Amino acid sequence: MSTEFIRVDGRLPDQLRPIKMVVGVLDRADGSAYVEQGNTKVLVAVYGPREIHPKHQASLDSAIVRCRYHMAPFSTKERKTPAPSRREVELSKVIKDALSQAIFLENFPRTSIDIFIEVLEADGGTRCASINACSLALANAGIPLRDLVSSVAVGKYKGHIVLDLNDEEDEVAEADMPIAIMLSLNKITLLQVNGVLTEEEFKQAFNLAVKGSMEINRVQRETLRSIYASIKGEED
Amino acid sequence: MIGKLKRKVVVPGDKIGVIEEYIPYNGTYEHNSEILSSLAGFLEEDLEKHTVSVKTMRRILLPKPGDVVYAVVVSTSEKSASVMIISINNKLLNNYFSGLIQIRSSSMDSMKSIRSALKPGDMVKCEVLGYNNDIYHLRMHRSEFGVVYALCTKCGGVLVRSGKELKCQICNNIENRKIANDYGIIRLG
Repeated sequence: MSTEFIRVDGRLPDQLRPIKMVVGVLDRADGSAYVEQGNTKVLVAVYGPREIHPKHQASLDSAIVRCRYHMAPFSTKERKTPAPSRREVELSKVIKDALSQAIFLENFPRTSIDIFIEVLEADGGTRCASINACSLALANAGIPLRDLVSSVAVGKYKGHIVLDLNDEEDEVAEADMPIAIMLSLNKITLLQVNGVLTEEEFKQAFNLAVKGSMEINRVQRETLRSIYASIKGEED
Repeated sequence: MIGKLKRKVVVPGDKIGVIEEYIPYNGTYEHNSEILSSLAGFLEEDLEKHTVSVKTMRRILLPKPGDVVYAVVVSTSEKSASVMIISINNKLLNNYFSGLIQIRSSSMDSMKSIRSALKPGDMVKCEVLGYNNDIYHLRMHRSEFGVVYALCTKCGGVLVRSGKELKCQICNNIENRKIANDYGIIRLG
């Protein structure tokens, strides 16, 4: 891996974009989170476990997860129509599956957990930022989780394996591979590949993604801890 | 004696210990003979019972049999009333759950029908019986249960208790309900 390679935004191949995470930003939601990764900005609200409407969707032995990934009309360079696109429906499903693995759904039979993701600004890696924000919002809602889900994309850009692609890189990249991991449990809940990677490149990319998600996981933990650290000061 | 483990903060996925050390309680779970946290909050260990649990700011509320709930009547018929549960054990919900009060489970001998005991818009205090046919079943079998807040059906004024009846403060209209013995008092935490 060439460490001399400098990317369009001045980053090294194994460098993440600056991350900002805030939890509990919405008053009306049971749990919420706001995440920035570079110029990508995502807001997530979580409701539940609550009564399902329509009731026929209910599962007798577990909660169901309903997820809506939506891009704001102003999130892209050109206006995006607010109607859900094919891509948004797919991402909703993929994100739901990545998160369902982590939630103790069997604890809340016949209820629904509703997740609303709003992409405020899209600059590559929105599904990863969404998953990171969702796991924070779920933890904020007090919903029991097996582990936090941390997600990051890796790709091949101008022949180099790079971490956390932005939109400019993504458009010309030879390959793009978003991964979501539960680090404490060593489990992968999402792995998609767009483009072509050799076996050697895949291994290299995968290891880089694990490294990147560890850094994201660290920020997620710090963000969740910070709320309780401030309470600690008040009570003692 | 509950020893607070130096007010240690944990988040989901954090390792708390091994299964030989503690019995995993609320907010924790066992995975590969290790105990992990499933919630974000303060770690609490009970040294006598050898248990660990995680205390969070937000607790998830779901109605269980035996819980005392406040509910708002949505509609009534001769034998039943459908209600919206808005609080559980004096804790206000962010959402609501649908409930059903049936005449046979409510011991209202003096009342011929639910329709004369409850009116849409009334706030009732009742006990959760259980969950059946996609709905929570409630009952108001004791004197502490029944209507705790109601409005006049003629003018919309607040009804106040006068003996076994309710009287409108504005138009002096007299109304009948299945009144809870602490009518007018709603305790919400």
